[in-house]
Amino acid sequence: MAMTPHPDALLIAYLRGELAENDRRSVADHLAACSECARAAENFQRILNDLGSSLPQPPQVHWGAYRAELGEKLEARRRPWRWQWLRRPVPLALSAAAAGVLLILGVQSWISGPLGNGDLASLEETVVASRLDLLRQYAVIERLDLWEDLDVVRRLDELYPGRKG
Amino acid sequence: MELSDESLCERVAGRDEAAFNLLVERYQQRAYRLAWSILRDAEEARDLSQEAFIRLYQAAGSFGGRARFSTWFYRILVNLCLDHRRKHRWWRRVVAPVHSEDEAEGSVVERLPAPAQDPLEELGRGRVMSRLWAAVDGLSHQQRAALLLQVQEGLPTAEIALVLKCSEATVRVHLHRALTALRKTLGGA
Repeated sequence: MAMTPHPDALLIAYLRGELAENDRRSVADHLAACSECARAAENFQRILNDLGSSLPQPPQVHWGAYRAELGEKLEARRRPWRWQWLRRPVPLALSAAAAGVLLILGVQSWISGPLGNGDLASLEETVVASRLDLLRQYAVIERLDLWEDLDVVRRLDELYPGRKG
Repeated sequence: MELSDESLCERVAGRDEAAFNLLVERYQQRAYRLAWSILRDAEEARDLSQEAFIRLYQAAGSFGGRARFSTWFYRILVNLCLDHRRKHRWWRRVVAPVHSEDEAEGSVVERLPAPAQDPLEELGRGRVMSRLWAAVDGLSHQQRAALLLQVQEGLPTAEIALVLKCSEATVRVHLHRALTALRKTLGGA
């Protein structure tokens, strides 16, 4: 009698008694005739038994704490999304940093008083005055429309003949 | 009379907190143990098993009762764990090529119950078990999940197929390949 094909994928189901009667009988007949498959089935059964009897145990858990933590997580999901977002570490740190910067700026402006248009003008004058020696050396300056060409004034160092670049 | 898991799940769909707490108590150990078996990391297992309960709470209404509650819940849990492993595979390779938890808390052999028979015989057996479980860790995600669901949770092939969202034939192939690999590891012909 010709041997049936090796029932590889059916072996485990056979060992666990999950096959329908026809398949079960077919596999049993094959195992009786094929020593290779019979040995494999025996090995598989032993491995399954060994695995079942030596299940590694995970580290212990305090179940009360586990459930409390789960309750907190579930509660957090029920909150509106914006509050959830704020409770995450990165947004929380960014919000704190932004609040800090605003606080510092607020305190600074409170100490030095508000910065008005007059202050800005005097700031510009200070910058221009610090470059006065350079301004004198360039005829081109006379042709400048000062406010539109302030950028040129700022880059006077680059125009100075003694400098590179 | 004790309510079935399926009845409790129906109540959870109606936002019954007591029913939810009861389901958590019934499944917390199994969920954590299965997650740990797949992930081999206590913190991740804790986190993902809790996440599975949250998903259960949120999606209880979609449990149609066509499968057993346990199958439906395992499906949520196992998918979470497998997705997590897939996402963090590259990171695990870089940071922890060896299972860090095994190093920190003793090998698989050390976590086994104390031997009740001849210590030398037990030592030999312990070594074999250690090699066996190390080989289980080396299986593909699907093979490993299928094997754990069978050996640890005792699920039949049909239910494993539902959990892993594949056919029974595919599960049989996964199991056959897994056991063939384990057999090779142990030096079986």
